[in-house]
Amino acid sequence: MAQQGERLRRWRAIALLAAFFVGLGLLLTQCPANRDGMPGQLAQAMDETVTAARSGALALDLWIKQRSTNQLASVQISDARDEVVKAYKGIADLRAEDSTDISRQRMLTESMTSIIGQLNAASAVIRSIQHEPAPEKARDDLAAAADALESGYR
Amino acid sequence: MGKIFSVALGILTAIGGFLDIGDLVTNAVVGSRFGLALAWVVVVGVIGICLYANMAGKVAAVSGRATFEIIRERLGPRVAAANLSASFFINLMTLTAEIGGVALALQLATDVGRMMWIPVAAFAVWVVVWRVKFSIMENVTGLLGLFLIVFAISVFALHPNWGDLVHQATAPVISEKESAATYWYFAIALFGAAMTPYEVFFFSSGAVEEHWTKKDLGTSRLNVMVGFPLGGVLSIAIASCAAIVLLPGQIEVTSLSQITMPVVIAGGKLLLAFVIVGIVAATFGAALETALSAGYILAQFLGWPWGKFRRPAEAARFHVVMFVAIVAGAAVLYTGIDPIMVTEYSVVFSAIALPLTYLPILIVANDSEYMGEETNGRVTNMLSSVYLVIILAASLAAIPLMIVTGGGQ
Repeated sequence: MAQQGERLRRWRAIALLAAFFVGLGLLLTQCPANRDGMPGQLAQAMDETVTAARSGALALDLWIKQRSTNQLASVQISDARDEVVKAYKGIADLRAEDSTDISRQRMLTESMTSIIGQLNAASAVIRSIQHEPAPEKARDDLAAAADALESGYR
Repeated sequence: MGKIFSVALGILTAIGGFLDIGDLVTNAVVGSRFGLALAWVVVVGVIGICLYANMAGKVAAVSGRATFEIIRERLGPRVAAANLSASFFINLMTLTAEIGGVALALQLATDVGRMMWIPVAAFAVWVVVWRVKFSIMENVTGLLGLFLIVFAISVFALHPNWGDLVHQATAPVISEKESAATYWYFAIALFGAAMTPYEVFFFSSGAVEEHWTKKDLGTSRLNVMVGFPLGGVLSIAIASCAAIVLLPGQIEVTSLSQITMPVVIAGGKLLLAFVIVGIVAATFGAALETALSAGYILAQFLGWPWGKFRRPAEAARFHVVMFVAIVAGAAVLYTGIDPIMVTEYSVVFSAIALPLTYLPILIVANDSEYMGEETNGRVTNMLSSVYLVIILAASLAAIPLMIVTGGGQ
């Protein structure tokens, strides 16, 4: 009787453990990288880049209107650039399986490189290291780059 | 007159002290992605923290001992150790996030990199917990934290469409860009941010530090019941600012510098100065509270002498724990990890550990041997039980939702 109880307990423990690992496995297949694959990761990187570019444009706008300080604007621009760099690192080494993904990846990395350059130039202007491009132009270019990336990607 | 001043000071300190880096970041992220569709979670979280902080304060005032001491005595070392491990880990994570928050806030004012500010912030936290009187420390950071009221002022200055804001809050809709899983993930994060465990440990240990007795119960209740909800109003103001400016501009908050944008639009450099002082005070105050909480819970579990009311030499191990915790937090930040990411994960892990923190408090508050005639009443128990169910549900759902959403992506 006691032996049967012990066996039942052991089977219950094994079943619970198996259910736990099956559940964990199913859950892990639902994580975005597995579930959405490369298209999902590219779309995510595009969203992050667009939002960073818009954030940079708004930071520049507030600085041009003299509502913000040099220090804050500089930090905001650097944060926006870091966000784009992070997104770039996330997709640069993805291995595409079809031509749509390859062309999207190329388009994204080109846009990201350009936006990083624009943000670096804007940062230099705010810190008075250089005077070109004009802040207004830098702001408009960033906003345009964000819009172009979003519409071009879709 | 002295009594009124003390009550007013307590309430103001509670408002200013309610917000920390977790509340600032989570509310701004949520506001920029969901508008006010998650404002109801702040209300739920504030009621919960009022309920349990009041209970923990009552336990301390009636018994003259902090919650953790009684938890170990009442529930035994094994249960208390489980509570301690989870709470200490979450507390350390929160301390790391707060030190990072101070560094980021100082970076906003100076444009000097956060890595330069981390040791300064950590050193300042250590000096204050070592040398400054408890009441001064609490009141100064709490009152300066009140500068965050500029978020509420900004909401008015931005002239929003009030009907639209009320509609977002009362009839929540998930936008097409977001999924239901992400919505609930951030609901749990907001709930965890409002009910962070360290707040309860600090509140109950602070009651012992200030030698509360049964006579102080009224004042403490008033501090909690008025101060925390007003702190919750500030949380909603932060989310509103993001909902008014950043959501329509399609800017999702990923950094502390973006949180200031609506305030700068509303009030320029003047309000910016206030908001930076407010953020430094709120994060610095919370760093002090979490550093102290690290010392409190470990010393109370192990039966060491603790408290700032003792000279450091009389509570040496308590001070060593705080020092080590501060150094560990700073060291983690020096790996280059993003403090905002630490913050986002700390609020979610807080939610996971909530049952371990709050269930023992409820058990102790129901023990007439400790509480005498101040044992929980029927209404309090009913409400607390409802909250335990919510806490448990949030705790169980947190990890699956974190995996499914990729940490809220």
